[in-house]
Amino acid sequence: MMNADPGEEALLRLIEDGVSSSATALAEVSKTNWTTQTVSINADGVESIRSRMASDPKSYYGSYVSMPGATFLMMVPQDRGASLAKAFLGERSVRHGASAPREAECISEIANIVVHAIVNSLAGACDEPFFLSAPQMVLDKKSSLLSVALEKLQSTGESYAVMAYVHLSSDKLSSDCTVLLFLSAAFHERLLQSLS
Amino acid sequence: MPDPKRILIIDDNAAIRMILTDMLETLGHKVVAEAADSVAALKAYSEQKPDIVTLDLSLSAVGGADGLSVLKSLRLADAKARVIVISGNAQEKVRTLVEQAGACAFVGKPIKEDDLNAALAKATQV
Repeated sequence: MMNADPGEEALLRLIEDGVSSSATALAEVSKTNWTTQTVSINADGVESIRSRMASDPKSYYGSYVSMPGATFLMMVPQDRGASLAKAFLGERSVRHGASAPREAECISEIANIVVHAIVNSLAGACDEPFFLSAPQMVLDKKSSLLSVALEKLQSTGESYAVMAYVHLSSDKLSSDCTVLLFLSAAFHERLLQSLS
Repeated sequence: MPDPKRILIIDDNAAIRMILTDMLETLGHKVVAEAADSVAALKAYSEQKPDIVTLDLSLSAVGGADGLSVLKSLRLADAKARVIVISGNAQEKVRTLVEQAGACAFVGKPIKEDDLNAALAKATQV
């Protein structure tokens, strides 16, 4: 995407920095490298992305995390959940056997760490503290998860002004990880002011 | 091996409770109770009187309060409560708020055993 506006370019760089920290955190918790495939802001409309996602028949773990003015959604394929949870727990998954926490709880915690890495980057620019909600986990198709993310932001009386799309992948785990960031108009404005 | 401490873990995520329990036991301490929400946390604290508490800052508000509120409640109930806050929220301003609310140490996520050990040493010295 060409970002002619310097403020938007600065915001994209800020999100890229956060995603870089996220990839590092993701590598640390899953004990394998993750590659950032895409980071974009408003490159495609929501409908375009939803339509693309609608052709994906797989189920995904969707973790929602929010704060005033922003909603985040992290999605990983359900069929990779067990290997992600195993990587996250390490040898504990073997030692604790059936009593080991369910994969949804492991992925929820991974989402908590990944999204915080991005938010920490945004908070640094604004020089104010941001507190995230605990992750809420839903299992569904990607397009449905996207719709719920929009509904969550709208239920607070806000609508999104900016959507950032992040896509990471891990060859070793044969998995991908998509993170969507929805920023409200007011929050977007605050970020741009801070960046200027 | 350090002087073993009795520890209460407050975290709404079972995976993190398990990881923390493993790490703390490896470091020679004893986990006397686990709590997944604010109500259970305050009850466990008053029943067990642990030496140290580990507290998740992004605690789900299911039990009525988030992590920062639980920290304040614990310190209100016992001004000597020694609380280590654990969070992926590593923002400088958040760490300052947490310290002002009475936490004696902060551990970032992903949790590293060395960081946890250093926080335990700090909490013990308070």
